[in-house]
Amino acid sequence: MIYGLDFPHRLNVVFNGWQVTVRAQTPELAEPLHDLFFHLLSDDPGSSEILLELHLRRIGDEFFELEEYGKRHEQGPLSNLLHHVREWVTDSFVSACPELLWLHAGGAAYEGRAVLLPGQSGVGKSSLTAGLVDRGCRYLTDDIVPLDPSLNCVVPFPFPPSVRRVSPENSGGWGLFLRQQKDDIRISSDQVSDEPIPVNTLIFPEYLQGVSTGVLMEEVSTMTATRLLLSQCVRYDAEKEQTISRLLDLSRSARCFRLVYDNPEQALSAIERVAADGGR
Amino acid sequence: METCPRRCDVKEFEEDGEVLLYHPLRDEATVLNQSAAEVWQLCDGKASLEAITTRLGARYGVEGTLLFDDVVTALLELSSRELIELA
Repeated sequence: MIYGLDFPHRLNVVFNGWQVTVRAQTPELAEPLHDLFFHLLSDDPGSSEILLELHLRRIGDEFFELEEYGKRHEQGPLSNLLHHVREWVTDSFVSACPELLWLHAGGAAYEGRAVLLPGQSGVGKSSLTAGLVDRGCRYLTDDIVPLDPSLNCVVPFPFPPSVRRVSPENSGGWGLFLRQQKDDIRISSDQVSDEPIPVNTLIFPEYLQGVSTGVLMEEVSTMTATRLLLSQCVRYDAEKEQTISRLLDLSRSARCFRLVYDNPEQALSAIERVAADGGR
Repeated sequence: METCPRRCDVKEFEEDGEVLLYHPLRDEATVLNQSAAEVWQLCDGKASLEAITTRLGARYGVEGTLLFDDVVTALLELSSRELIELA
């Protein structure tokens, strides 16, 4: 197989001086990849080093194959393979940039200052982040956030926000909610931040059905925020002590809150209020 | 023989009276509020349970015996996380 001929549709995904190449067999396969990487694509990747080269092709009616040649491959429906593409590309950038601190968090910029929403899967990071963008914030990231610890800045990592269609109470239980297929939300380029943004507010969301007030926002201490951030670290290449020190610096530089909610609109209003109050 | 709790070898970070302890072998971080942090800091391997409660009582102007149950609870919690040795 000659990859350049069999996979003529090439996308260069670029982040922080590194590049991943994804090749598709047909325009129909290139289109969802283009949507997935829209804000990270470059026509001219220049001298950025290629970390990973992936190939996507159709091998049956509704059956596709994703391959990193000679290393790994997955077969299945396109939606599953797009999930793998996103995961593999993210992992390769995480590995290539150990100088950054990588956290599970959503993030948006409110008037030039970043609001981060760290948390595990299912707490509503993506939905709240997309909601903030709807309300005029600039998009930074939806699931994994790279932080420059020397500046306490978020480096934009704008995969499209990927949200579940049905809320937990209408999903038939938490397990079924988490297993739902997610839909990517389109965000236009002018809604995406194109530069690192200093972190101003950390909000740890928790979706809890039946919160009587709809939303509960309480400030948490620097130490509690540091411990919560530590539990959302993607990996530690640096020494753990150094990671804790960096997270402590981050928590010191921001106002930190715990948000318990079951009404997303009220939660978004509460987030906007604390973001507008300003950080430390 | 009296028990004299001793702090284990963990990494300590302090901020505004709170303490974050990182236990490298358990790969676990624990945040102590101000009162738990005060108990932790008195666990020097020399002070007995009675001495710890007496010192804390003097600090807060109350009889040490009034703090006994709370101090024991804190010590057991610290011990369960391997942050102190009770031997």
